Amino acid sequence: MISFLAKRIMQAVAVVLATASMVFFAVFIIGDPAQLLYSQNASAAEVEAARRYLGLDLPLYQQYFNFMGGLLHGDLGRSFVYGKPALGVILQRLPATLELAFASVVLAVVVGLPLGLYCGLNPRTIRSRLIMAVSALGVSLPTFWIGIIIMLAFAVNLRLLPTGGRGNTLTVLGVPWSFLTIDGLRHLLLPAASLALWQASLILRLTRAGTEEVLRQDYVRFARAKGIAPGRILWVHVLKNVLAPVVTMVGLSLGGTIAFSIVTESIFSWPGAGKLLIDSIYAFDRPIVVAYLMLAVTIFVLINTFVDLIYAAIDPRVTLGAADSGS
Amino acid sequence: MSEPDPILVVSDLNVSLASGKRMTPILREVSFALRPGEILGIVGESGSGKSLTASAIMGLLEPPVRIVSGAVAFKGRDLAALDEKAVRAIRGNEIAMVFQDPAMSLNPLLRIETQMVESIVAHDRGCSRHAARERARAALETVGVPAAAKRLRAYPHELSGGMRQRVSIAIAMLHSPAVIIADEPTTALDVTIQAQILDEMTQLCRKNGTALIWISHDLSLLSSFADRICVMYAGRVIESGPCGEVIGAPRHPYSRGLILSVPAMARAGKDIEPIPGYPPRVGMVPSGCAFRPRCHRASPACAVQPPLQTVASQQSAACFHPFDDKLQVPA
Repeated sequence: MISFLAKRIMQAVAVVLATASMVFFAVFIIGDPAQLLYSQNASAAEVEAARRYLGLDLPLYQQYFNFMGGLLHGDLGRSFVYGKPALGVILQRLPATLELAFASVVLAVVVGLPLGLYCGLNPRTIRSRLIMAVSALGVSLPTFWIGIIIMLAFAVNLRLLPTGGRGNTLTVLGVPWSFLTIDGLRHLLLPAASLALWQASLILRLTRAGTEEVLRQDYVRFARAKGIAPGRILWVHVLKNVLAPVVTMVGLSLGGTIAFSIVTESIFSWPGAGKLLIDSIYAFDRPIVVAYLMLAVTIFVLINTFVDLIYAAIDPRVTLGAADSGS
Repeated sequence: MSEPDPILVVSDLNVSLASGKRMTPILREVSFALRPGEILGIVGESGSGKSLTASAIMGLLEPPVRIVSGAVAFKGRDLAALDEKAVRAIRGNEIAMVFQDPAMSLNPLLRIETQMVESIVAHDRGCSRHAARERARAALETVGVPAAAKRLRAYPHELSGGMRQRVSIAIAMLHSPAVIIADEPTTALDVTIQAQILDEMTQLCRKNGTALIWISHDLSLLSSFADRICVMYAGRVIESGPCGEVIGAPRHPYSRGLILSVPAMARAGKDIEPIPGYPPRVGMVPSGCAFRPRCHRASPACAVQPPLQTVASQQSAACFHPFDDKLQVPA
């Protein structure tokens, strides 16, 4: 367990450093932020002074070493645009993104898992065929289009829900949260639903396929032959076996939503970190982009580690740490 | 000498696969009786319907496969006519089952203890957890699992194939059932373990007076311990009788072919004689006697299905041209 976590942390550090380096050079190639930061009629001397102030006049390798040196001290650099530490700027926006991501994943699991079980248990009924057809749409329709359509339907035409923003928030631990107020929840519902549709469809299809497969297994027939009640067979024998791949899927999906819910945040004017990333890319705000992606990678690794822990807790054949164990 | 009344009587059991409005018969007029404490071997090639017969008796058929007609009378009650809840009370309690592959029949994610205790509690609601665990441990010891208390805490993948099958057998025997249906329980095991498990299981059943239906494709294995044998072909029982008679003087050409194609049972000095052709697939069974296309004794009369009729004192065969001589068995 300890060695598993230690190994994971080492891996994470390596991946984060590699990502940071790649993004650092990539953004450098795209363009020069000093040109954008100052108005067209700024003098060449002013721009030059700005470059020197931001450290952009140094050779690339020296900028890189300064940046990496800062990293070792936990300093991700200052945003060119905001003039504040990059990490601080991101962390200020992150709770909104986390809130949206978690809300959508919870919604996706709550909807997808039971429906998937239902379809797996009753594959031949008309109702489950209907559900499967809708989920096929759910995995294939682009999220941004879904976002616009449900906004049009529920916010513009039916006027049931607001079109965007976070609504009223309640501040807990110094961070404002929408899900703690009724108005905030109303604002959260549409963006979360549009992010959840794709995930719910995927979870549903995965759960259905898993359920159908597990039901065919001999251990389910043996459990029936033992005279076990159908409820216990479903909730203990079947569900546990179905859950393992679903947990992996949910983990990946959560990571993806946190890092890249950019489009949905833009549509619903959700003031999260995704919108910040887009703005920063346009502004060549390298420290923000680099710090953002490093944070995204870290979150991914964290979630995957957590998924592995859950996986090992569900399936005794999976052992942590050892590379080649079990079947 | 009077025979005790049979405990399980399967009569004219027809099972079909329903697809749309069409019904494809899979089991046809399967009939046999099992007396208390008796070991009945059911033998047949894969696809002959032997495993399906077991599922039908246990009420484990999954739609679209279902019983069309016939009865499975257990202690005088027709299981095919009972509702699911009533059958569940019998399954695992009075009729238990052991499956072929112990790697598949135990849930990989649950401890042995969980899987045994749930079996006990399913039919014995008043049993406390502690008492159930104690019973599970004792049951494991009975079937020869060493360090039973430790094994209870294990997961299936931590046990060997033989140990896993012993666990399945222990589970089947938890409630001292009147009947155990064993569907090729040793096929997936090493030969040495096979012999051990077979020995232990038949001995335990004889000791407890448990009747055993042993399903196998291996006639020479069955002949070593079964009391009576049913031979199945294309979803039908085509010969049945006491083990010695069926092996020593098979009446149906298929039974005879089956015996002569087993090297150990063919007559000494003679070549084995494989049966020509292949068994028919489900839904493509020929009319009349299904074995007709592969049979060298077939005549135009065989275009009509021959009934299973008594050919010797206790032996019946479904054939219009049965053999009536003994096989020359090597000394």
